[in-house]
Amino acid sequence: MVTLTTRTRRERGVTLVACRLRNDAPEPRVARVASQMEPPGTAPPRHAGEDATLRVTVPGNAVVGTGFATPAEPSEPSARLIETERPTEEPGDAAVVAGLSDPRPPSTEDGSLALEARFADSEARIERLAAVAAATTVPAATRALDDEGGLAAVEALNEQVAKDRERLLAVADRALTLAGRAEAAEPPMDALERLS
Amino acid sequence: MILAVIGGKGGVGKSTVAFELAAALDAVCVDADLGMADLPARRGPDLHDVLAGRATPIEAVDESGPVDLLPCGRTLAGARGCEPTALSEVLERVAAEYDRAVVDCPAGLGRDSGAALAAADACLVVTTRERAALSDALRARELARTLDAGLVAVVVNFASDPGDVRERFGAPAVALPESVAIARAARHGLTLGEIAPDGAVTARIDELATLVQRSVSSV
Repeated sequence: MVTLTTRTRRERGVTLVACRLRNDAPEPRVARVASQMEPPGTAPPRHAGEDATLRVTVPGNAVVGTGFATPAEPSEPSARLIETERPTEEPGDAAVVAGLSDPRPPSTEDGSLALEARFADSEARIERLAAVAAATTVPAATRALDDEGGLAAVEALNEQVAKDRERLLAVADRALTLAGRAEAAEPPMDALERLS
Repeated sequence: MILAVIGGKGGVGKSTVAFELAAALDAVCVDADLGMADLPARRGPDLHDVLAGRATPIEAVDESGPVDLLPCGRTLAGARGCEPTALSEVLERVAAEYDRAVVDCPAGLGRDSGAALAAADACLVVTTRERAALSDALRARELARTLDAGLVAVVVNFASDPGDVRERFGAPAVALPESVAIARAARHGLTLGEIAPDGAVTARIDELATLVQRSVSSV
């Protein structure tokens, strides 16, 4: 059986509700925990549905912690275990992982092409951001914001360009290191020629 | 127990935290940064070899240093030859043999991070207080949630106080102040406990280790 114990703590205008789920049975269970606070809290559960519940898998004979935060004042009960069910074979972890990007570097043949394409992408973004930065009058700045699709879009672009910068510096770093190694690896050809 | 140390953004200090935490928990530290390994290299087979089927996970664990380490290869060819999704099984094998594994996940949320999180019992998110790092950390925490790796705590690196991170993530937040000692220790493959046993950062690492132990203890 799964049991829930909670502990609340008020900090800086936010109530933190810590939940401990204990499963005494040997089989894993999926527990649904509902916030009893008003408002129920969002920071997280980000995955909470309209009913603000947390779904947590509790392995057999184990304790699992979860929790959420809410602006509401602490009150009891802060959370309630609404039900537990047997874990269903969801399009499990393997499918989620397969949907993520492949971290492996591309093969050498398309490597230089990919690098060129990345440079071109970065350049286009940097130019767009520079265009926004270059707007010095209110109408020009408003137009530049509109062109980019609003403040949030410019913020996202700004973040992306910061990442571009980091990646470009990493490439530069690597290139410098390799160039240095290339230099150091140069054998004394004169001496070698005399040997042969 | 498998603990994934994730962050999303590069350069926030994941590797150092993973290494120090592995030391504090007496765990094997697995350098899973397939493309950009940065924990000290050692001789012998590495994670590239394991993920390409050339070595078993256990023979790749190097026990010669202060922390047992499953190092990662540093060549592009090695990274290309890996099967990143096989990482889950590798971690399970290591944890079965050594009981505890702390995984230093790569930056970015690719299949390698996903495979580590899928195998992990819990995770630790490392971030700085920069906005880009925080938004990547939130994405990392989302993926961890999808893959059922409970969030033990958020490490706010290079900061003297965690600010509003606790509220934003809904999890304990531990600030790690910038430390010359920790940077020096990591560079030389030493642990902070060895070079600065009484330091403030050492105490915070111990605090994190306690949080981990408390949240992933079995009945």
